[in-house]
Amino acid sequence: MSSVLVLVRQQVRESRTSSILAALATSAALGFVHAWFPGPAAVSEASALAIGVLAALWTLYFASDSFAGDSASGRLATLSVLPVSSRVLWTSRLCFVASASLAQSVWALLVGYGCQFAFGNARSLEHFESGLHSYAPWAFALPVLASAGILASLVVDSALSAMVSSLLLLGGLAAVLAPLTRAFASFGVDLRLSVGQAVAGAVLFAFALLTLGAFCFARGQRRLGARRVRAFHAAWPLGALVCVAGIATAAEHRRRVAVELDSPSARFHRASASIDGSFLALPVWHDLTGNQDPPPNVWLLDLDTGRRELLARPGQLILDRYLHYSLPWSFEKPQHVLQINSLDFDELEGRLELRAGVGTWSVSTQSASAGDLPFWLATRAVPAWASLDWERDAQGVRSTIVRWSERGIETRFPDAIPLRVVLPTLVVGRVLRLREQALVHHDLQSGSESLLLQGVTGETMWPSPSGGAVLVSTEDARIALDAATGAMLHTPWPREEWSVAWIDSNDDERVVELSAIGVPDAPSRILDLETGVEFEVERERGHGLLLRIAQRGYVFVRADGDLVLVDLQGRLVKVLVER
Amino acid sequence: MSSAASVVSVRGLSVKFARRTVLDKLDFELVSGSVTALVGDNGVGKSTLLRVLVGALAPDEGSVRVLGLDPIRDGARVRARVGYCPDRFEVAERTTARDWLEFVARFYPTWNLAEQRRLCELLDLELTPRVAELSKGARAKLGLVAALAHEPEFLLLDEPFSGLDVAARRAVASAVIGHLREAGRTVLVVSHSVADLERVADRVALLEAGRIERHDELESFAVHGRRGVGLEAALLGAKQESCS
Repeated sequence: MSSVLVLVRQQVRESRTSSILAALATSAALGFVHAWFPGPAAVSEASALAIGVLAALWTLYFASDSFAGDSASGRLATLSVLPVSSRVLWTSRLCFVASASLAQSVWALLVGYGCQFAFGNARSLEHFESGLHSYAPWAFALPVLASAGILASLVVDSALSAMVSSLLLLGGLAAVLAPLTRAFASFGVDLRLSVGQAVAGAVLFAFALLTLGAFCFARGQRRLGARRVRAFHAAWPLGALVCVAGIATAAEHRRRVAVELDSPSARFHRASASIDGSFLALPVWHDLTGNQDPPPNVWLLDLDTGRRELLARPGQLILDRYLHYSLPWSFEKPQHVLQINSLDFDELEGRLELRAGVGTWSVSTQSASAGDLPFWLATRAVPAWASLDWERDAQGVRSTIVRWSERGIETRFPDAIPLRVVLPTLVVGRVLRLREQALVHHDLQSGSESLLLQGVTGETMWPSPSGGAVLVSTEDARIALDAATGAMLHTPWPREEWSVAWIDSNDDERVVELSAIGVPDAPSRILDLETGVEFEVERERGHGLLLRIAQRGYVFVRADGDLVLVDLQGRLVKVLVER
Repeated sequence: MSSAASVVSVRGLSVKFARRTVLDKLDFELVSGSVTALVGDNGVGKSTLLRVLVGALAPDEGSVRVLGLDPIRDGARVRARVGYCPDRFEVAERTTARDWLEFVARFYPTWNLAEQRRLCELLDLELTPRVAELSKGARAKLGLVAALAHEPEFLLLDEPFSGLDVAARRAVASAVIGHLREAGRTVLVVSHSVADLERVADRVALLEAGRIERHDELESFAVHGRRGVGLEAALLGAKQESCS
């Protein structure tokens, strides 16, 4: 008889009591399930679940007991002076764990089927087998549990400690590898596994753990009695793996979460200037190719001194709730910046209130929860006399409700997007409305409507940041209109030639950017509709940022990548961020 | 180079536990057919040396040959030819002594059931009780039988007299070890029982500060002691010399 078989047989004899107790406990647990759960479906599904749990439990137990107790008591040292190699000893333990676990699992199945035949019927048996089939794919977890238990039992004194340690080990590895998976995802590498891949991965992982166990066992056998040798040899590869994974994750996390203003990978889309034009709250995005782009970092930039300050990493500016333009801020009207948890982008850490004084600024941190978000959202495109709501009625149709509080008037506009279809104007009681391809003024008092423009294409209009004007398209032109009067602000731009968009601003100026259609590299033009000043800018279109700042000028990213401030005539004032 | 008659040949052996050096560049040889008593203070490294010889402990430095084999590389082969009775002998409590011997016997092709019976009778060891029911002395006897019944070429005994009553000590000293000497086997025995060692050993190796300080014939060792009367006196004398 080979040495391995002799050793396994001896261990079976020595663990006879625990094996019998485990089998009795399995029988009792399944009997309890049959006695406790009502109905054939519930009892069958609970039995199948119990069998899965018991199989995992006994696997973990026998694995965790494979070395720990014998090592602590000195029995392993006695066996080690037999004329067998450490490989034989190791193999015999593995064989025992495998056979004991398998025997317990088979016993649990037999008891489960026995209970079905004794107390069940055809329907409950069907439920039972269906439950077993649904848990069967999880069987791949058993080798992982066993290998982690065996590895843990090499370095601790008792089976219980080994069970806890192995679960901690697996939990710790999962905790490290989960963010690593996310990090890989940012490179476009999807590590989500199919069932087949998960099974193969689990088997490989179990094999890796067992290889590590064999290595540290062999090293430990050369230093019998010195458990620290086994502990060291088990710990350093795992420690190295955890460290490497941790460092890689931390580095990737840092790369994804932190971006400097002058980094070539920085992208600027929106910014919010203080009303006096001294400061800029500037979200900086990453230019990452991935499927989980992180939120931006939010910086504060002093336009006079060039001083910069990181406000939130990562964070989010609160923009106009309807139009997504910036909300100019001052001492009285703070800019809200959400601080986002750097590990969980769905979690808010706090809310900053950014205020601008004369030549100075301040920031205070407030608590924040997602539920409070509606209270911080605001718009500057709705005049003071009106308030808006966007509600869904009983039929599921979303309507915009315009309230004229002073008169107690409330008008519902079905299937209308706030400000894009229904826009309260600066004239009290007058609403600009896009309806059936016509732009009309709707009088809330009387309910009457007067036609402004027909033949509007598209479902929506494009209000200016302050809501004082709108851009609409017709079949052949793009037109800018004063929302209150309906007067054209400029001669229409031929639609085939020009793309027109409002330029965000921190005041009520009506400024547009004109881009020639079909000429990709042509510089765009900035046109102030109030003064008629027009000039060309060569800006990097990959950055959305183009902001008018009061009477100071415009901020945008130049074609060479620098963030610049130009005056109202387009002359360079300063380079704000050289990149 | 070990001589042809050397059962054990150790050169420059060092063993460290953490930062503590237990054996320090130790050189040691055992000639075939000798019964050598390895003596020294507590913690000086006697058991450590035995564990190295049986392949249960890897040295940090040096070369070791036992019966011409490297105990680390060829541990199983060395242990098949060597009998080792450790100072701590632990087996599963629910196993009977008979079961244990039957289990151990399967690993030794040279296991001699008649020798096992002879030893059990000689040592008055009952085989029916479970190990949990055995006294400390009976466990020590079980360890001795397990180490001897396969008729090893070289026997390593670590405190074989510990826990034994007077009759058993005499039996081990005279009938067991004496029998081995007569059979030309080599024995290395570690014990603090100097009287028993005097009864069985023909050579004495004194281990001090991690090295073999003296390795001599028993008579020569005792005569060279300052007091000149017996092994115990010699060891005390050596101790005083090293202290002064």
